[in-house]
Amino acid sequence: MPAPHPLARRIHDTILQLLGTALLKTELCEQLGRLGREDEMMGTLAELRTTLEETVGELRSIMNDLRTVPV
Amino acid sequence: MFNQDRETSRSSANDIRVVLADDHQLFRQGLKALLELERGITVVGEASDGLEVQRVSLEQNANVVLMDINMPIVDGLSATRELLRANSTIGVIILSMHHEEGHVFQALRAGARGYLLKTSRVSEVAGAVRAVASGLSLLDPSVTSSVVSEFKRMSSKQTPEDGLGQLTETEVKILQHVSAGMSNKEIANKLSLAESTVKNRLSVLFEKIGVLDRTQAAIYAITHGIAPTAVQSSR
Repeated sequence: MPAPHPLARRIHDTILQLLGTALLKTELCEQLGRLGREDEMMGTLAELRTTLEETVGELRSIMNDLRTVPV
Repeated sequence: MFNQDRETSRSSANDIRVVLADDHQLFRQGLKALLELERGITVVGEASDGLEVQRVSLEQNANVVLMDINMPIVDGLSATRELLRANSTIGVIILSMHHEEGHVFQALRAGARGYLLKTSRVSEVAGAVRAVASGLSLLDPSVTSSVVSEFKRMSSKQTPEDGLGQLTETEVKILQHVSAGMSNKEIANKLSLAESTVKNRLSVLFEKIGVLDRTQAAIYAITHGIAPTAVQSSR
């Protein structure tokens, strides 16, 4: 298979992994809520927020690198 | 979905022993926490690279390994090949963000018995773990279509009288073992045949069903229902 574009690799290795983790944490919150384990659910929600903040940070970093230099 | 298979952690000796291999610690943590809510599944080890997963899986006597593709030192596909060479009874499920068919075929060629995307719900991952532990194979619905397309492409090269109906009983058994990721030597031992006989029979078999290699043969077996296959219901 051809080698992926460096940007595709970067998106795969950062953004998609973070979003995959975020998806898991939403599911974990659902299950903890159903089990009545509210303290753990609140902790997982905080982790979810951190994961999403990291995702935003990575996206901003990629956008910054893609910004063209004004002529 | 909350179901009878999901409850608070209660491991037992009969649990399916699972190893998680992913270089993203947060992902492993989340997956482990969710799998621990599943009845009959125990996470017995974790690994963050393709070398560590081989050691941990063998040491922990794992039944199933959930394996990422992109990992440091040794990638997940090479790790799958090496691990199955050491113990072909372990069921490897690739759990990846890659949905491209090339990765799916490479995974099947390496001997993986399942391929799921990381966007799958954990109930689906747990279902795959149970299926693979019981000897079945399983593909994510979103990649199944690529496999079926590949099969159609292969089928279009065949005449109707070629293929399945032409296979002898032994050839069907060999095809089933190929689809389970077994080597010629392992098949020979299993069927009490010489390794050279298996090799010769495979050549004839490939010609009969119109495929070029073991991967295509495995896909043929899966899509013809020869290999025991469970395809998840659509999400």
